[in-house]
Amino acid sequence: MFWSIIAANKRKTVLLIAAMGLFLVLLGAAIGVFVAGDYHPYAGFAGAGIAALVWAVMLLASLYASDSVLLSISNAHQVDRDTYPQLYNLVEEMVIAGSLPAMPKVYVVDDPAPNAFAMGKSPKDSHICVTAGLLAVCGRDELQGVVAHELGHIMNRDLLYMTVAATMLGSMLLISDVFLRSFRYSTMRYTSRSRRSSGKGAVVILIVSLVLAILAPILARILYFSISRKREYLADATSARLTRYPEGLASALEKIGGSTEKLVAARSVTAPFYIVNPTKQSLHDSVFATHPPLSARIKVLRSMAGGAGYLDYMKAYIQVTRKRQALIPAADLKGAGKVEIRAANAAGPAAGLTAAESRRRAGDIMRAVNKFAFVTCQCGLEIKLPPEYAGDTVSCPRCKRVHSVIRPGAKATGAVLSASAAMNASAAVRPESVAQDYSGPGHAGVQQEKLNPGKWQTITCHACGRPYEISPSFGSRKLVCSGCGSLILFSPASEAVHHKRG
Amino acid sequence: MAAGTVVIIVLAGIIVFGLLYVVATYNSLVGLRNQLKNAWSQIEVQLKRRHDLIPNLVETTRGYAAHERQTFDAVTSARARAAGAKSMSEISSAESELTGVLSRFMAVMENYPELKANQNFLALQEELTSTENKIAFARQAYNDQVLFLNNKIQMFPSNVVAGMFNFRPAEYFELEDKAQAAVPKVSF
Amino acid sequence: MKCPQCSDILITLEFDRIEIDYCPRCEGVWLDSGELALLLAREGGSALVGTFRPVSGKERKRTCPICSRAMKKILAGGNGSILLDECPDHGLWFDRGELKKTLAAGCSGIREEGREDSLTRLLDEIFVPCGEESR
Repeated sequence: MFWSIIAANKRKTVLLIAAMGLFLVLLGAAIGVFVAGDYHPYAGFAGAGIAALVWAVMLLASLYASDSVLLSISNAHQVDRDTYPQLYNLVEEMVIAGSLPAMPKVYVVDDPAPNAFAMGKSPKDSHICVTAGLLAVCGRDELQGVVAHELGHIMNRDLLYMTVAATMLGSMLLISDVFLRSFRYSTMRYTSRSRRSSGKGAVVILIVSLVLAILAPILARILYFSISRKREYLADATSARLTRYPEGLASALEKIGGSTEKLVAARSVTAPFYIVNPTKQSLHDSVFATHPPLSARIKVLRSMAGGAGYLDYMKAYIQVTRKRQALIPAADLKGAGKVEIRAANAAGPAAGLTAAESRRRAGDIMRAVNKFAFVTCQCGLEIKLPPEYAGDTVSCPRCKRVHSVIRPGAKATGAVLSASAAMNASAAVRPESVAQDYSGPGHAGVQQEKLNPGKWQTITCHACGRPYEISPSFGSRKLVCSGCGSLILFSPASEAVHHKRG
Repeated sequence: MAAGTVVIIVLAGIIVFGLLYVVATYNSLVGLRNQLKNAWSQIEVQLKRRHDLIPNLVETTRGYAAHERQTFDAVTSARARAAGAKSMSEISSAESELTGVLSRFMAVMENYPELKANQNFLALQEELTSTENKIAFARQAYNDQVLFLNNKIQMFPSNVVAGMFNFRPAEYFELEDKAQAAVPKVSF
Repeated sequence: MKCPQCSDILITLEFDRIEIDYCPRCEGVWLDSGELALLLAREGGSALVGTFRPVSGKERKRTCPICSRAMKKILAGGNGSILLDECPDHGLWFDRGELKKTLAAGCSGIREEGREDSLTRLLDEIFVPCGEESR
C-alpha cells in the first residue's frame, strides 16, 4: 500500500530504539559485574536480564495505563457528530484520506491553551484530543492540519514507538539512579572488598560501570529526543500529504506558538504526544527537546513548493534544516504519485485574537460541547442556557424580547426538517387545546399569528403593545408575552385572530 | 548422491516455489481488488450524502433568495442527473457537473448576509464542505488503490499470474470541475 | 450552576465582550474570580478589589455555586455599605443591584475623565428592567 512508504521508514526508528535497548542491557551487565562479579561468573548476564525485566514491566504497565492517563485528564469530554460537527467531520475526512481502519475517539479538553494530542497503541484503537483553546483560535483548514498531524502520529505508530523508547529511558534512569545512590553509600564496603579481589580488574570494572551509569541515560535521552523530533517532522509530512494543504498546519502552529496560555493538564511524561511541547517552548534546535523548533517546522511546511507529497516535504526539509539526510530515503518514495496542493477552504479567525477573547471563545466551545443552548437577541445580548435550564422560552434581561430555546441536538443536521414539514407538524395540534392550558389567571388572552417560515417578522402583542422580532429559526408554536402574560400562538395557515378572554 | 537426484530435487524446489509464488500473487491481487471495492464504496457513500444534503440546502435557502430561481433549478436538475447516473463515466461527468453547480450556488448564497446568521444554513454549509472534502479524499484513496492494482497487473512477473486469472486493470475515477475547465484560455 | 440565593439555574449573558452569570429569577450575578478585576480595569477603577475586607455578617450564609462550600461575607466599597459573598477559590456573588453599586463605588472619582461608561450603562439596562417600571 501507499503507506508502506512509512513502513520503510520504520527501520531507522527501530534501529535507534535498538541502540537504546543495547545501552540498557550494557548498563545492566556492567552493574551486574560490578555488584556480583566476584561471586558469580554469569553476573553480567543476570544484570542484563534484570535490566530487561525492569523495562518489560514498565512497558507493560504503560501500555495498559495509556488509556487511563487519558481518562485521568478529567476535563477531556468525548464528542460525537452532534456535539461538535466540524471537529468530528475533520477527523472523518482524515480517516478517509489516510484509509484508517477505524474512527478514533474524539475528545475536547476543557483548557484555554491551544494544543492537541493523540493516544492509542494501534490505528484500530486510538484517541484524538484537542483543547477548547485550539478550537477557539483555529479555522477549518488549520484545524484540519492539526487533526491530520495527530492522525499522522497514529498512522505512523509513533505512540507505540514513543512508549517503547520512553520506558527504556525510564528504566535506565531508574537503574542508574539506584546504582549511583547505593554506590555512594557503599564505597566503604567496596574498599574492603577490593583488597580481596585482584586490584586492577576491579578498578576497571568500577570505572566502566560508573561511566556507563552516568553516560547511558544521557545518551539514551539524546536518542529518545532525536526519535521524538524525527517523528514530529514525519507527522507534519503526513499532515501535509493528507490535507494537501501545508499552509493549514503551518498557520495553526504559528497560532499555537503565539499563545500565552499555559496548558493545565500537561505533564512532562505526556509532552511528546502533544502537537507542540506544552511544557516549554524550544526556540532553538536542541538535543534535549522533544519537538523541533516551531519556526523550523513552519518554515519547512511553507517551503513546500509544487506539491504536498512526501517528496516535496523532504525537499523542503533538507533545504530548511540543512541536514544531509532526508527523513525518508528518496528510494522509498519511488512510486508515490504527485500530490497537488489544494486551494484553501475558508479563512480562519484572525491571528490577533486577544487572550481574553480566545478564552471566551474557548468557554463557548466547552459550553457547546456540554450541550448549552445559545440564543442571540436582536438587542445584541447573547444568552447561554445550560442544559439544566427547564423553560422553552427565555426572556432577554436587557430588552425583554422573548426567545424560544432551541436545544442542541434537537435536530440533527443530517435530517433537517424542511420548513413545510415543521409547519405541518405544528398545524396538527389544535390551537384551542393549547389555549385551554394557558387560560388560567394571569393570562390576559390568546393571540394568534401567522408565521412566515424563513423570514424575520415583527409582531405586536395586541394586549399591551409590546413588539417582538421573530427570527427565521423560531421553532416554537407559542410565545408568552413578557409584558402582560398574554399567550401568542403561531399557526402557518389561519388568519391572525385576536381573542380576548376573561 | 547421484546427479539425477540433485536435478530432481532442484526441479521440485523450483516447482514448489513457483506454485507458492502464484498462490501468494493471486491472494494479494484479490486483496487489492477488495480494497479497491472498499474504496469505491466509500466514494459512493459520500456522493449519496451529498445528494441527500441538497434538498435541505435548497429548502433552507429558498426563503432568503427566492428570486435566484435559475440557481435553484440548476442545482436541483444537476442533482437529479447525478442521482440517476449508472456507469463510471456517467457518474464521473454528472458528479463533476454537480460539484461545479454547487460551488456556484454557494457563491451566490454569499450575497445573502442574513444566511450567515442562520444556524441551520451554517450547519448545512459545514456538512457540504466536509462532504466535498470526503469525496476528494476518498477519490484520492481510490485512485491510489487503482495505481497499485494496475501496477501489479501490468508489471512482470505478477502480470503472468494476473493474466492467468483474468484480472483487468481498473478505471481511475476523475472529477473534473467543468466550470473551471471551461474558463476560456487567453492566448497571446 | 445553581443560584446561591434561590437555587434556580444560572444563565450566562454576554454583551460587548463582557460575560456574566445571571439568575433570571432573583437577578443576582455570579462573577468568576478575577472577572470583577477585569470589569473594573475596563472602567479604570481596579483599586477597589484591594479594599474588600471580611466581616461576620448577619446575612444568611450562601454556598458557592461551583464547589458548594459556604462562602465568606465581605464588605466592599469605600464606606463598606455593600455586603458580598465570596468563595476564595471561585468567585463572587452579587445580589440584585449589588454589582452596580460595587462598580459605582469602584469607579467613583474617575468618572470625570471621560470614560465610556459602557459597563454601567449595560448594567443599568439589565438590572433596572422593565419589570420595575410596571410594578
